[in-house]
Amino acid sequence: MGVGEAAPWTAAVAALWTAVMLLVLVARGVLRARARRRGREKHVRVLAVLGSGGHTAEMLRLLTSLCQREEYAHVEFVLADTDLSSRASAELLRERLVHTERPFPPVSFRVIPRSREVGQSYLSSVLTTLRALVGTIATVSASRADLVLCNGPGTCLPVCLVARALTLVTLRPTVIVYVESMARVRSLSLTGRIVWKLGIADAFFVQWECLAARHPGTVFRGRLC
Amino acid sequence: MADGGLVFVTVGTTQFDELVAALLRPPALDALARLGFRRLRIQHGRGAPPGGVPAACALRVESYAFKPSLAADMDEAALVISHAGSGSILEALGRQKPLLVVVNEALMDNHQAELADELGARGHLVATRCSGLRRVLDEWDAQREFRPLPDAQPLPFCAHVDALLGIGSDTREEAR
Repeated sequence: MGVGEAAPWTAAVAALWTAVMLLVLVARGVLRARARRRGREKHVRVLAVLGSGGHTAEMLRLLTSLCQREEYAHVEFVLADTDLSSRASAELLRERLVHTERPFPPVSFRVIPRSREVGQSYLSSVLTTLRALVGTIATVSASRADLVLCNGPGTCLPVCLVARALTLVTLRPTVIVYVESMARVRSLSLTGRIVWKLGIADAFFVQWECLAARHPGTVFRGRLC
Repeated sequence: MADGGLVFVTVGTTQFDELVAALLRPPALDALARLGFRRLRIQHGRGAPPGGVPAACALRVESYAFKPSLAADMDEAALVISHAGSGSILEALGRQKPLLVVVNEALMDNHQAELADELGARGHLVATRCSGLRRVLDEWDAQREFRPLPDAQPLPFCAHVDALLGIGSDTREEAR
C-alpha cells in the first residue's frame, strides 16, 4: 500500500542523515586539524574554569604542568559570581601563582554572573539564567580560546556547551578537555557525568582506575595533579 | 618526636565548626598534649573564630580565617588535621606529614568521604568523623610511618593535550 510512496521519503531521509553525519565528521576533522595548527603556531589560549578550593588547587597544578611549554601563551580564568567574592578569589589566585616556583604565562580573569540565588522567584530566575547565559557566551567568544580546560565546578557545563556551539558557528576550533577531580574515586561528579554522556569533551580524564573501567571513553593515566 | 611540635588544623575554603569545637574540648586537647604537642594552629575558614580554651590547657592555641598559601604552616606542622577536601589532603601528603582527615558529615553530596576513606584504606592517612575524633587521638601513634603517596604524573596528560593541539611532544620530557 503505502510502500511505493514511503520508499522515496525513507531514501531521502536516509540520504539527508548520511549527508549531515558526513558533514559533522568532515567538520570535526577540519576543526581538529585547525586546532593542531594553532598549537604549531605556538599561540594556545587557554580558558580555565574555576570553582571551589579543591578544584582550584587541582586546576592550578594541571595548568602549571601544562604551561611548562611556551606554546601555552595565555590563561584566562573563568569564575562564577558566587557568594565568595569572586574578586577576592581572583586576588587569592594571583597571590598563589606568585608562590608557584615554576613559570606561568600571563593570566586574566572573567566573572560569569550566577544563574540563580537561593530562594529566588521563578520569573526572576528565568531572567538571571538568561543573563548568565549571555555572560557565558560573551566570555567564551571573547576569550578566543583554543583550549577549554575544566575539572568539575558547575560553571563548566554552560562553558563547555557554549564553546562547542560557538565552534560550529564560527568554525574556530576549540579543544575541550575535562579532568575529573582526584576526589572522585567511585562515581563521576554531576557535571562530569553530563559532560561524559553528551560526549562534548575531546578528552575526558579520570584519576582513579575503577572510574575509567566503569565509564567507557574516559582516559586513565594515573594521578595527574 | 612531637615535643613542642605544631598541630596544624585546616578546614579549607569552607567552614567546619564542629571539628574546631571538638578539637578545643578537653579530651582532644589532653590527647594532643599527651602526644607531646604544645601548639595548635587553626585555619577556621568561613567558620566562626574559635572560642576560648580551658584554663588548664597545655597547648598554645592560635587561629586565623584564610591565608593565600598554607605552605608555611603545613611545612611547620608535625601533625596535620584536615577536612576531607582534596586540596588540603594532597598538600599535606605531598609534604609527607602525618595526616588525620576528619570527614564533615554535614555536607550534602559527601563524595569527599570517598577520597579520604580510599587513601586511609591504602595507609596514606587516617580518616575519621567528628564522632571518632576522640578515640583516634587517644590511640594515635606518633611513631607511625605512613605510606608515602606516589607523585602525580602530569606528563602523559600534558602530552595528550599537546597532541590534541598539534604541539609536538619532543620537548616535554626535558621541560620537567
